[in-house]
Amino acid sequence: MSNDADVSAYNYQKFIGDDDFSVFRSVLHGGDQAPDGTVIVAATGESRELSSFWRGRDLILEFGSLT
Amino acid sequence: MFLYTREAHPGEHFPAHTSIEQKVQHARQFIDRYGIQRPVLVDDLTGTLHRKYGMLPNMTYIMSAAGRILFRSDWTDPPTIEAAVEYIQSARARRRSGLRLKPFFAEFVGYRWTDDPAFQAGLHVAGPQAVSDFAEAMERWSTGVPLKGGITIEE
Repeated sequence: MSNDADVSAYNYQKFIGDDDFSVFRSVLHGGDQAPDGTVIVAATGESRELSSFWRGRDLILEFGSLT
Repeated sequence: MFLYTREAHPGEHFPAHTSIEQKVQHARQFIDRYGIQRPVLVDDLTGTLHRKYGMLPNMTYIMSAAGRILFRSDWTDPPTIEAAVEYIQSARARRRSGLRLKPFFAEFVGYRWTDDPAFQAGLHVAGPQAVSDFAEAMERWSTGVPLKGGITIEE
């Protein structure tokens, strides 16, 4: 379960620009199994497993936010 | 598809998320404002999936139907993704034609176009704080605290 400190640390209130791009190169690689987890479909509010979107077909997944 | 993460540049109009309801609401406003056609999915409030995939603000992954990572990039650049999709399709076509193809690991350096006016317009949508925080960060990057892990290629 998450606590308030986890939530506020992840959801920073001020952009600093200290993302570490080198971390990206150490977490996953081509050929690896993609991590699964629960997501909410924005349009409907339903909960789904991410894997349900790639099962049976390729998936292009972009990460981002409105800002 | 699109996976909605934390706000990269929080501002007065789109502040940092404090509840999952707010995060879903921002995702819906994102769909409406930009006319997003792809399904938009929302990660949980602590960014569980975002962390597992590298926690950068605008990554793209391509997964096979079995959930294997075929492509990953630390920024999103449409022509680069198109090239990757074409590559995957052509490899499959060659396989269908009877060639025996064996998977291998490869890396390459991408080149992305940064549309600065569009980016600045996006910061204004987020609010004045997003604009000034980014200006501060640019100042820091240019005065000795460069972006960590960026790639520089001498041409």
